[in-house]
Amino acid sequence: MHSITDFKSFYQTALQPNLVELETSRKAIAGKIKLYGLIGIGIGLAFMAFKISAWPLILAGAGIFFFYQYQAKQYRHSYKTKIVAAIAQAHGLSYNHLACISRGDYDRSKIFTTRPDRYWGDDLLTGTVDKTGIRFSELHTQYKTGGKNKSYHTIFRGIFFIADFNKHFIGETFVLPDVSENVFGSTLGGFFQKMNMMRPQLIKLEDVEFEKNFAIYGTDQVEARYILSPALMQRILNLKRKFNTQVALSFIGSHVYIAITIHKNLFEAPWLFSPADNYNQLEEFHTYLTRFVEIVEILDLNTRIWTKE
Amino acid sequence: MFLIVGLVVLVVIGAVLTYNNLVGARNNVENAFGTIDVMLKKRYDLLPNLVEVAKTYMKHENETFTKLADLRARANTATTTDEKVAIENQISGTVKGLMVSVENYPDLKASEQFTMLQRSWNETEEQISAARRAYNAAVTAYNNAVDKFPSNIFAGMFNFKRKEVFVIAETERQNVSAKALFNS
Repeated sequence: MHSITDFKSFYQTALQPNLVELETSRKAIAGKIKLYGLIGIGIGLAFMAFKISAWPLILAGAGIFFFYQYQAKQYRHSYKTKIVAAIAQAHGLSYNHLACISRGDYDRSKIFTTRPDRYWGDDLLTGTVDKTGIRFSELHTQYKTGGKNKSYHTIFRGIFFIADFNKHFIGETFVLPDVSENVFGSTLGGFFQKMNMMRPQLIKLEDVEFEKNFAIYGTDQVEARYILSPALMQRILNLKRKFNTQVALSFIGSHVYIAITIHKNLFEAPWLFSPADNYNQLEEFHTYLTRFVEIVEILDLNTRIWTKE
Repeated sequence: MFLIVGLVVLVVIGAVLTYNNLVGARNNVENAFGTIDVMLKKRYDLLPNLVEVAKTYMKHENETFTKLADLRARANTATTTDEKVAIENQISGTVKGLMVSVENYPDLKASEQFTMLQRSWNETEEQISAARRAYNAAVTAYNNAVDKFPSNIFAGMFNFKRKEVFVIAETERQNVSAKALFNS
């Protein structure tokens, strides 16, 4: 299911019946919340008007708030398990909205050198595209600064994607967004790249455009080039163009790890007080899933002409 | 007085660093060249196995097998780098042609042993090309050190000469044309 027309017919046949059902229960819940809200606040205000106490109003407010929270959570749950899961399944993926890429996987990728103090994510999707196993989820990691008035800063927010790589290798290779060369120009920036103590050796590749976009580090000069063949460099550039955002990759332990920065919470249910059936939003889910599954194709991971099957 | 001593010390430190940088770059080139040799050796060891398996199925390619055996023997005795490169390129091209004609032998194509050898072959080819690219990168870094100011002064003094990068042979750069192979 790649095209929008395919998705439209899928939406009509498979999603709409579920959406109708969901909408009925959503309306009922929304109505209940509104009704209880009116009654609670009405009584609370009456108590206030007769100058008896402000407490009933405060209690009613809190009660309604918690009731809303609970109902919204239930609604989100059924939306994700019925609707998002169905779209994922149509893409050949299984979906778990409560899970995410594990901290172990995140650490193993070594893409980010800052240790996160906060780590959370949801919407884990797993599957196999032809011969290539993939898994990805939303992830948001932050680190903490300051003692008393501490604040959190984002390390990474977006989709963290892991796939089997189609070649054998032993070492570690990193393809990271080229921050220093963009800021300081090629000579001084190149110097800072070389001086990066957190990374293995700097690797200078012959593809000028690739070098402009990325800083490459690796434990082995030859192996890094074995992985990053001229074709793969072009493919990674295509990937970056397609997502039009910051992309970082690492090749470690027979996997390719890809961190795609996206400042948006994907695969979420609409607000409880708006219709459940929002076609544009569903189409957006479909488009994103198509793009993530396409990574396998873009990077040509199903070509298994080397010894790794 | 201190100023002069300080300046001299600075110049000496600068000279040592620049010289060491040149030596480091030259050693990197040698090391990278060694890696190509290792990869070529790997492919060289693979060749008899590949030929052995292919021979049992491919009855009409005797000419190619003789050619490969001949090339392998010549590669063993080649002395100059240029000669070596030329022979390796020929081996590469001949096996590429052989892989295309595999299409005519369904039994061979289905053979698991052969598929595995074919995969190994592709892998070593890719590794050789990676090693060559690494070598070229090392040569470029070295040449930059030789040409750029101020290290070019030391390069001249201590006889560091520019090195040539690997140029991929014209025949290898062209895509293998199946038609041309069947006609020959």
